[in-house]
Amino acid sequence: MGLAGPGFEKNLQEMSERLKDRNHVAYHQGLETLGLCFGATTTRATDQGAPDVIWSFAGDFHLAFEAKTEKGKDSKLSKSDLQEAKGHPEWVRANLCNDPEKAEVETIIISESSSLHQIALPFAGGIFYCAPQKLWQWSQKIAEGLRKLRVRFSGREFAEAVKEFSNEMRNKGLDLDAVKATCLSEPLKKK
Amino acid sequence: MLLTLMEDKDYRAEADQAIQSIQAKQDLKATDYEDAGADEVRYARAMWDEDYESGLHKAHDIADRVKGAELAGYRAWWWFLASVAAGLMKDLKSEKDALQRSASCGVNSGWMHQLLQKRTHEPIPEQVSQNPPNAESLWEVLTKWGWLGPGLKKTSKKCRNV
Repeated sequence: MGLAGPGFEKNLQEMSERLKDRNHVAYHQGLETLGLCFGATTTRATDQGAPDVIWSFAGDFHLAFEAKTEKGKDSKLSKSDLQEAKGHPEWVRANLCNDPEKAEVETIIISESSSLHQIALPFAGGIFYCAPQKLWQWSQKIAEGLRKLRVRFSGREFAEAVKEFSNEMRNKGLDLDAVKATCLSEPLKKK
Repeated sequence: MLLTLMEDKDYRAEADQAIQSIQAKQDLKATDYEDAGADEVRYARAMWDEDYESGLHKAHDIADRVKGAELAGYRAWWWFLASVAAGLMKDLKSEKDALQRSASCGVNSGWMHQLLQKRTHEPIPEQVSQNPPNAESLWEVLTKWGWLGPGLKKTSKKCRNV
């Protein structure tokens, strides 16, 4: 009896545990694995001014994440938090884009709370917000979808299965539109 | 256990059928490759002689001739070679057309899209592919992480049938 590849379940399990962890290193690792679940090319940067994790997709589309998961529920995002995040697209364009002028780069802050310091309010434009809980729940749904894909398309060739695979990706929310819909649904700046 | 399997008529019939289907697939591939083989040489000769127009025609001929899902990668490769010939002729329209056709074969389409973008300096029209842009890369992740073992799948099915 053939064995299920141990790497697959191990990766998903580690991702689930890490996305529950509020320690920034573990969280970044979890976020990186979640990006892989969508077929993104992931980058975990440590440079000054760089996003914590970047998901890059075909068509020069990039999602830059700034994880402030160590901040408590009562903490507010500060002006310096937002200024840091605002510089991320520039870093991504300089380091990861094929065409810096035409590439699409969006920034997402992950934090327990989307509350802002009064002084930070003018800097919130153009940044999106995502709660860690929402991201974790999403990761569980995505993991389940991947498990099903893995069973259904086992032993098949991409070229022959691509149409069916694409439909299943859409059904399970693994396509790029679904990623955009989830990550870019909540602007940080409230109207 | 082997003897028991060999005496099992149903098992042997199933195995014979499986072997025959493999044989049929291989025959198909062999014929297609054989037909294209002569033109492969003609393409190489034309390119060597810097007769890029003939090279483009030969590459087109091969890509048009090879059909079947299992030859998608080979087809994509020949559309790519057609784009090389068109590029050397400075025929941007034909080059772009060949790259688009190569990308639509569904093999290494991400790289083809990138190449198309670089060569034409234009954004890729959405209708080039109906598939999500992350389909191929997600497939690669699943391949890297490991598909479900076929043995396990088969055994699970048997268990359900018992």
